[in-house]
Amino acid sequence: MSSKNSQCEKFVPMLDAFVDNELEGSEKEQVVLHLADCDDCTRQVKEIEALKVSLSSLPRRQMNFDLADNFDEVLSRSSSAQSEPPGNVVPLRGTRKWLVAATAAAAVVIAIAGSIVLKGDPQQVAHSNVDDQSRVVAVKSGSESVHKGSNNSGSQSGVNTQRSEDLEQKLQQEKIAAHTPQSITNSSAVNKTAGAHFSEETERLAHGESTTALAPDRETKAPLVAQENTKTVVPASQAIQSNRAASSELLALYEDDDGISSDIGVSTDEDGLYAIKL
Amino acid sequence: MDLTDEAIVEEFRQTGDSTKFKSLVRRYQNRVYNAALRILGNQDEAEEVTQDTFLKVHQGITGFRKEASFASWIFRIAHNLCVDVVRTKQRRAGVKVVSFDPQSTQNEEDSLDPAVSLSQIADPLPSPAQRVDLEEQQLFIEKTLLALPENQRTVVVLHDIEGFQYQEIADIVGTSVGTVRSRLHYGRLKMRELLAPYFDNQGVQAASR
Repeated sequence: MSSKNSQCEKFVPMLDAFVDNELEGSEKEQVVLHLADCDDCTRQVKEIEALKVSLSSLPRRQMNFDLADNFDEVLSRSSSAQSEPPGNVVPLRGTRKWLVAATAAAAVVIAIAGSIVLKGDPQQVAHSNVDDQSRVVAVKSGSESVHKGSNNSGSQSGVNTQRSEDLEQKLQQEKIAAHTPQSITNSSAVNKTAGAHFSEETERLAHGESTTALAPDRETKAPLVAQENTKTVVPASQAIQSNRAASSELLALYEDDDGISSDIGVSTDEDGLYAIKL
Repeated sequence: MDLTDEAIVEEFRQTGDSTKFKSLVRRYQNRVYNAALRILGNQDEAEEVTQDTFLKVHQGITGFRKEASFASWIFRIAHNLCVDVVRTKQRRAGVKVVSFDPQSTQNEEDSLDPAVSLSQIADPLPSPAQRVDLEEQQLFIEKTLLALPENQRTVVVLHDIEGFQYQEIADIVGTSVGTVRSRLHYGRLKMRELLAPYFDNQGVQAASR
């Protein structure tokens, strides 16, 4: 019986499975034959067995409390924790809420004006109607802020329609050149500028920056830029032109490349604007 | 005669009787906790894993298939949660994350250097010449177990402490029987090396008795 033989290298990795009785028939027989001729492997088998005994003899630790008795409580706590907003949704408070409300309110006005301007082209009108639906959904809470003086959110769409009709009449009476290539070019420029402002705000919100002064800044900046870019248009159409431009900006924000409305990350609950997905 | 786990699961599914589920919790809570504690080495984390395990079991019990035993299923959930905890800790510590992928190419033999493993033990083991009592022996073994790489430690705990068979461990850990066999071999080999000064063939040093 040798203390070490050339076959040990092959059998040592099998010794644990042998001790655990996890070897197949032929392997098991080979190990038995080898152990009969190898002191070193026999010693290792005894060490493995001793280690197993030591491990199985370790004290069984127990929890400090009975989970079974407290499981109802654990379950209810878990349920309430799951109903809280997920980590990437930040409840809006104070200035953030006002900022988004103001932005959405501006969007409502702009969207209405935009749909009026587009009415000249039947195809555009059809497209605009579809877009209007998505806009209303997206800015619902903000529009509540806009019309909060009326204290009647149910009449909101009626107010919007009335305002839309008024603006349309005004537009026709003044016979502005709303579809001239020049104005389209200008509105495109406004789109980009105003869109950049909106994106910048969204970016800042996403990074959790303070937005205390952002809402008033947003309200003043965007119209200012619109006016600068529509200088060549006749004065009477300035407001409508800028609204139209910003309307296109909103379309760009709400539409995918395919022109399909998509979620811009603003979610609402029944109490109004609630959160922005960061 | 006690009902089998699977029979209790079936009754709970049919009746929704929470006492049925609680009997399963009572049956397994300390086993899961003990295994999690041996794997993680931290009481708070082990309690959290145990609690989360039963929440997940409760949540997914309708999806439990009888292809595996209920014990294997519950330990698989607990194992996955332990892996999450270990990975989170490793990321925080900036340690290279150990792969638990069955296809991992990590060399089981190279996964722990004896010198490093000894330094990982918070309190150094006493000199072999020192007499040690039973409590200290157990402490040595617990610390040596914690010095193993997590994947080897898990297999040693599931087999030598919890008594699962190789195939069951393979199901729990999500690997092959061959990998289980290999991890168990290298894990025990490392423990034997670390404990060699204290071991005779009958277990921890006879001088302690």
